[in-house]
Parts: sequence; C-alpha cells; structure tokens
Amino acid sequence: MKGLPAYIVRRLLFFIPTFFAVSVIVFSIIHFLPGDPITWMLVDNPLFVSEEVIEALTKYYGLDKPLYVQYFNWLFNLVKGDWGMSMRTRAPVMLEISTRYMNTIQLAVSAMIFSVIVGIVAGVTSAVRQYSWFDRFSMFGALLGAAMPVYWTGLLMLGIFAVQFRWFPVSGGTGLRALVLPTIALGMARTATMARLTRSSMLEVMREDYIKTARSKGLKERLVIYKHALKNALIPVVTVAGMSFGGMLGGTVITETIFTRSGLGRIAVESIWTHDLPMIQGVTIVYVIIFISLNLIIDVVYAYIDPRIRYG
Amino acid sequence: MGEVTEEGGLFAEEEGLQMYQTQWDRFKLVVRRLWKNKAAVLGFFVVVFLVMFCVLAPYIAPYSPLKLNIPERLQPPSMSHLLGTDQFGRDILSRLLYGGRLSLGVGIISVVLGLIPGVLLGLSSGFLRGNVDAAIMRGVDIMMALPSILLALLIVTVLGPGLINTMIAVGIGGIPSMIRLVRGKVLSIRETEYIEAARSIGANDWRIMIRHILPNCAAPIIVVATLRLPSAIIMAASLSFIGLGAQAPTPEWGAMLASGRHFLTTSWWICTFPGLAIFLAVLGLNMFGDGLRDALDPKLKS
Amino acid sequence: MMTMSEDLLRIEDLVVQYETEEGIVQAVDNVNLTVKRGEVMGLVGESGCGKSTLALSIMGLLARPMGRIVSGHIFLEDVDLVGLSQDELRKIRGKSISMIFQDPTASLNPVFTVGEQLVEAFKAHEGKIDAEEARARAVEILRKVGISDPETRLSQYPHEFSGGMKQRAMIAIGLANNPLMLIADEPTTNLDVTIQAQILELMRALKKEFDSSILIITHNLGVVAELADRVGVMYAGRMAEVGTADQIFHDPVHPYTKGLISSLPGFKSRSDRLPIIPGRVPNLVRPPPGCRFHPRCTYASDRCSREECKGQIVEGRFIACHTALRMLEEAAGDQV
Repeated sequence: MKGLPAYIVRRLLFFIPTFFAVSVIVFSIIHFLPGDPITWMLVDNPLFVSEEVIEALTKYYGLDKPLYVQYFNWLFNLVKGDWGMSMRTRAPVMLEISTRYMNTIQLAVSAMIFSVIVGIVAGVTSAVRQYSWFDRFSMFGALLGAAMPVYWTGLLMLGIFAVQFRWFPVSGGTGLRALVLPTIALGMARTATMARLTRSSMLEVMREDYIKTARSKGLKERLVIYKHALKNALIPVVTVAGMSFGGMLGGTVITETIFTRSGLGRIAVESIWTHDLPMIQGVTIVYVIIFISLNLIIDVVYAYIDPRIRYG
Repeated sequence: MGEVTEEGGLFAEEEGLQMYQTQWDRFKLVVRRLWKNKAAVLGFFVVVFLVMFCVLAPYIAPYSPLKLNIPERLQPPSMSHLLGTDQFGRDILSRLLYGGRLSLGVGIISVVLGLIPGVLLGLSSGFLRGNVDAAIMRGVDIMMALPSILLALLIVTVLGPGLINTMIAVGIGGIPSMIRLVRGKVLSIRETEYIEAARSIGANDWRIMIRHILPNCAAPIIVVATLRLPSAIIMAASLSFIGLGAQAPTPEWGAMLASGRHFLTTSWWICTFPGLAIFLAVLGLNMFGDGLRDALDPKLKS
Repeated sequence: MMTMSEDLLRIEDLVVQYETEEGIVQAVDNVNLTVKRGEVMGLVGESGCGKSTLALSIMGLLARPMGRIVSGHIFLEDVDLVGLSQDELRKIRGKSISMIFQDPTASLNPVFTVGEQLVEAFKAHEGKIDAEEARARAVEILRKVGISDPETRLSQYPHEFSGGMKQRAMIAIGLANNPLMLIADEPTTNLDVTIQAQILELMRALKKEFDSSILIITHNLGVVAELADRVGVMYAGRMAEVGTADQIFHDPVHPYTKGLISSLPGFKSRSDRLPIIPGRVPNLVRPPPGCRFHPRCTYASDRCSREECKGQIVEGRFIACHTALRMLEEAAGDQV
C-alpha cells in the first residue's frame, strides 16, 4: 500500500478548499434572497414585521456589519457548534440536526449497500451465465427498475406492504423494520444501474488478454472470475457507485417524506417552506459534510482496488 | 528481417464509423444500427406516443383538467372516466394528458437550458485551458460537492416555488457533468494534428472551437442529453411532489402523485396513473438512450 | 523405436471451427503437425491463417461457445487433449504446456503485482506453498529471464515495467513450472526491434536451460530464421509445408512458401522490386474449392481447383501441393 496514505492526504487537501468555497455559497444565500432577508424569513408571520423587529433581528443576525466580518463570524460560530436558532421551532439548529442526521445517514448508507451488493451480485451472475434465463430476467428487471422513480416505488410499496399486508410500519419508526421499505425504494433505481454496469463491465473484462493468461496458467475458473476479472470489473462500478451517492443522499429528501421518517430530508423541505434560513443553512452544511466524507471513502476504496490511481 | 505481406483478415468487409467520410453517411449508419435494436425502437415509439398524446391534449382530453366536479369525486376507472376521478372530481385522464405537457416539457427545457452553458463552458475550459480552465473546473467541483437535489432545492429557495423556477433549478443541476464531459472530449481532440493544421492556417480560436471541435463532441453530448432527460423529468416531478415545483391545481404528474398520496389505499388510481406515466416516459427514454449510445459507439456494446 | 518418445506433441487431422454472424469459419482444416522434444518449431503464415487458433486449441483456450474443436487429435505424450474435460486440461495448462501472448501489456493483470501473478502460477499446480519459498523461487526465475533487481520488481505492478520487461515477466510465468513445451504467440511483434533481438536470445538460452520445446507462432520470417529448428507454413487454415528451417528458407517447394521466401528483401533475388503474391487471403467462411491457394498460384493446374491436396511426407518434409509433389516425383524418377 505504498502510495495509499499519500493519496488519502492529497484527497483531504483537495476537499478542504472545496468545503470552504461551498461554505461561502451557503453563507451568501442570505444575500441572494429577494428583498430584505428579515422580511423574507418572517414571511409566514407578517404580523411580526415592524420596524423595530426588523432592526432588532438585523442586529441579532449581524447583517449590518460588513460582508467579510459576517462571513467569518458565521464560520467561526459554525466551527464552534453554534449554528443559530431555527426560526420555526425556536430550538437550536444544532439540536434539531443532531437528533436527526443519523437517521438520514442510516437510510442513505443502507440504500447504498443494498444497491451495491444486490447490483453487483446480480451483475456478476448475469455476466458469468450470459444468455441464461437468469441473465435475461435480471436485465429485464433492471431495465424496469431503473425507470421507477423513488416516490412511485415508495408509494407502491407503502400501499402494498405496509398498509395492505401490514408487514411494515406505515410511518415514522426507527429501527430495522422501518428501514426495509425505504431502503428498497430508495435503492431500487441504483440497484438496476449497478447490475447493468457490473454485467457489461464483467463481460468486457472477461474478454481481456490477461484473463487468457490467467486461464493459461491453469488456474481454476472460479479464481479467474472472482479474483482476476472481478477486481478489474469493479473499477468503473465503484466510480459510478461513488457518483451516485449524491443522488442517494438527495433521494433521502423524498423518501423521508413518503415514509414519514424523522431525518434531515424532511427538515430540509420544511425549512424551505417556512423560510427558516438558519435551518436551511445548517442542513445544507451537514449534507455537504456527509457527502464529502463519503466521497472520500469511495475515492480511497477506488484507489485500493486500482493501484494505478495512486500515482495520478 | 522480412515480413509476410498482410492482406486483409478473415473477413473482407469492415464496418466502422471512421470509414465513412460525410456526416450524412455517418448519420445513416447510426440510424440503421438503431433500427436493428428492438428495445431502442420500442422506447422511441413509446416516447413518441406519449409526447403526441400530450401535445394533442386540448383535442383529445375528454374533460377540462382544472374544472372541479365534486359530485363525481373519487370515482374508480369507468367508461365515463377512463382513469377515474380525483378528490375534486377532476378527470384523471385529462389531467394526465395536460400534465404531460408540463412534466415532459419541463424535462426537455431544463435539459436544453443546462446544455447550452454546459457545452459553452466545457468548450472554453478544454480549449482555452490556463486560468479559464482552472476557474471553471473549480466551479464544477464546488457544484458537484452538493447532491443535485440539494442544489435544486437551494435554487428554489432563493427563487421561490413554481414550474419555471423548477426548470432553472433542474437545468443548472445538469451543467457540471456536461462541462466535464465536453471538456474531456475537447482535451482529447485538441492534440490531434488537424487542429494544429487549422491553427497554422491562422483560424482563430472561436472558429476552431465551433467548426472543428464541436461536431466531434456532438455524439456523446446527444447521448448524455438523451439519458439526462429521464432524470430531469424525475427530478422536476420530485420537486413538485414535495410541493416546491408545480403548485396546485396544476396537473403536473409529480404534483398529482403528491395530492393522491393520502388516498393511496382508498382511491389508488389517483396516484398510480401519474406514476405509471412517469415510469413509461422514463423507461422509453432509457431504452432509446441506451440504444443511441450503443449505435454511436459499438465498442461499448456487451 | 526412438521416434515415439521423441515426439512431444502430435496434432492429427485437427479441425477447428468458429461460429460467427457471417457463418461458420473453417479456421483449421485437417492440420497435422509434430513437435519433437527439445526442438523449436516455428509456425508461420499470414494473419488469419489459423495459426493462433491452432495454438489456442492445443491449450483448450478457444473462446467458448463460438469456437470448438470439431474433430482430430492432439497428443501430448500419448494423451489426447481433445476430449479431456476442462478440469483435466487445467492441470496441463501452465504445467506441461505454457503459453505467452503477443501483447505483454494486455496480458498482465494491471491490478495485481507481478510477484503475485508469478506465485499464482506455482500455487495453481502445487496447492499450498510456503510464502518465503514461493518468493525465493519467484526471485530466482525473474533473475533467469534477465530482470534486474528482482526482489524489488516482485512487488511492483505491471505498469511500472517496460515493454521488454513485461514480456520477460510473461516468459517467467510461462516457465515457472518447468513445462515440457512453451507456446509463444507473436512474442516479439509488439516490441521494439532491439528488444525483439534480446527476447529471442533469451528464449534461445532458456530453451537450453529448461530443456523445453518451443512452438513459436509468428508472421515474421526473420524471427523464425533466428530461432527455429523446423518450420511449418500455414495458409488459410491448412498446412502447406513443413520442413527444417534450412529446407524452408533455402529450398522451398510449396508455391506459397516460395512466394513468401522470395518476397523477403535481399534474400535471393537481386531485382529492384520485391515480388509479391498477387490476390488476397480467402474468406474462410466460403473458401475456394480444392486447394485454398489455387486462385493465387502460378503453378495451379486444373486438379488444384477441384481437389485439395492432403499432403505427403517426402524426404522428411511434409508437402501439400499436387504440382510440387509431381515435380519431386519426376525429379526422383529422373535420378533413377
């Protein structure tokens, strides 16, 4: 693993300035809003809007200070852990987020794992038994699955398995049981893509010369497929898995709404509706952090599988 | 050391995109390949039919999509209402047809909206290199640090809900990947000799970009755009689903799903048909897009 | 009789076909070939003449399900490889017969170290091996193929090797289990000319040391001239002529071989223009009737267009040409 630690450090160094840039964007949302930010935030409570209130809140949020001062104050508070107060619930943003973010990570990660495992297994099996009924069946299924939007799948599953059969809870709930339907709904489209990609990648790799070499060495067919071919075939798969993680995270927004799960996604939607700016900012930052961290992990896995990357 | 003359292989013919000189020949070859792909043809016709029905909505829809008709609310599919009615008595079929214009239209427009800046920025970035490239790529990295739905949500936050803003939000989401794609293609073509030749004749940068490089990028751009359409449609419908896109009573498919949500078990038709419509559109586009990709580059076929 | 155990590999009446979109390709049509112990047999012919297919058939590596051995025998020390199960073939691959391929870059798995791929060759046939011992053996064999600093090289990846070194590594893998025969399919074609010479020299030295036979397949006659004891010439899936290197190069008999040899610059002719063989290689889905070479042959007779010449062994050479055989007969008759 020579180049691997160096590679990790390099990726970290890359992400830090990106994170700062994103923070600038998130911060500056407040200044892109139509009209006066305070009025915008209070849009649901027009009765409160008055000269004094606007002035007080402007001072409270430090909006009268110069831009760069505002930014650094905001950033400083961010790092300190003071993410402001939710306009809607009057509770600290940090509290609202910290009670919920695990649920979202749980959902996103489990959907990721589901789609990766099922997708890869289906893809490899299809490739190894090309043209068999399994192959045709799973590829057809993948075609359909890729077209099913999360909300439709989610609603269907909710209606059938939760309400009709009562196998799973209809709403809310933490714990494994409540995780099953949302995971499948969220992961289904990605599973389909994974399966197709793994299959075509495997088929391509199996045609490579080094597979011929492996066979000519007299290796057992199982070794040829699962050691030589698979490792190479997984390279593009891991890339795509990584790139699609963003979609997975984003999908939690919808999934949590459908299954009424407590999580960042639902809060994100609610805070946008209620113009709860501190919450919006907080949720975005958390999403970005989660996203960047998991991307980093995927990059490392990628570099582990394909040694040529470590020196790139 | 001598060598035996190598004349031809096992087969006398060799088909390849490179062998054809004119753009028209290449186009015909692609169409021929596409035609052979049954799935792609099927997908194409599914999409064409859907689009046709939606475009013809004013002429074939049996009822008005917006008119309330409370006495006939929540009726299951029947002869008078082929797909049933929703909680306000509105005919689902008519809403579906009119809504398709919105859902499909939003998808198409957002992709086009994202295409133009994406291609232009990608061209500039790849061709001009230097500081321009660095700046654009930084922007791309930052935009890609956010999951695309989040980006869309942020944009909708600033601009407010509504269908037009949805188009903008979804369109912008597609820009970073388009920039990367075009830039990559430009970088690989750039070093080929005929660009050097064009330069040596004194052609200026813009001319080179548009007349020489762009046509070569056309193929992957078309494929990516076609494959992005389904995600754009889904994302627009998602935004409507959570209430940030199309507002009631607009019959956009995502919004229809949202409004039918509470009647899932009692009046299942309210949700199912819009979802089915989205599904069919996406499926058709996926099959066609895959076929298009295979037809343009047979090496990728398995 | 000494001749029986002298023959290491005996291919008899081998027929191999490929299924393609255009039809069934008769890739190898009733080919006979013998390789003796410790000799270097060169197999030459144009691209597409079936020589690679022949090699892959010996190893049982034909791309399934399109390619298959239709009939014939391949005897390795009296065991017929045709008809063996995949399991049994696997025991032979890499142990009794090894193969190295044309493009060393594509032939080594990019995600494993060279050492791993080498040790794998040992493990495939010996089961569990002590790691230290495996390492030592790997280092030893890398040194033998001329790779300097083998201890470090073991833990490097293929992309860190140069082209010539990669091919040496492939040879090392091929010779790892001291095989009876090494098949080399265009081993030098992808390499620089200077490296080519080095690799050939290496193969010559190793042949002596490991006492293996080598079946070298190439379209490059120069390579064959350097290395081969005997040479087989294939055309369009059939064996045209087999003889010693000396015979083939200095006294070719089959019209095709004659054409090949005379097209070598500076070999025999002094004219300014290189003679070429007119026409093109036939389509192997619908080959010409009779002798497959007859449309391009200046000596073709009527019989050639109707009847394929199955070939005979004359004075230790295999010749498959009606005209050539007739001329030899007449010449022999004259001498009586």
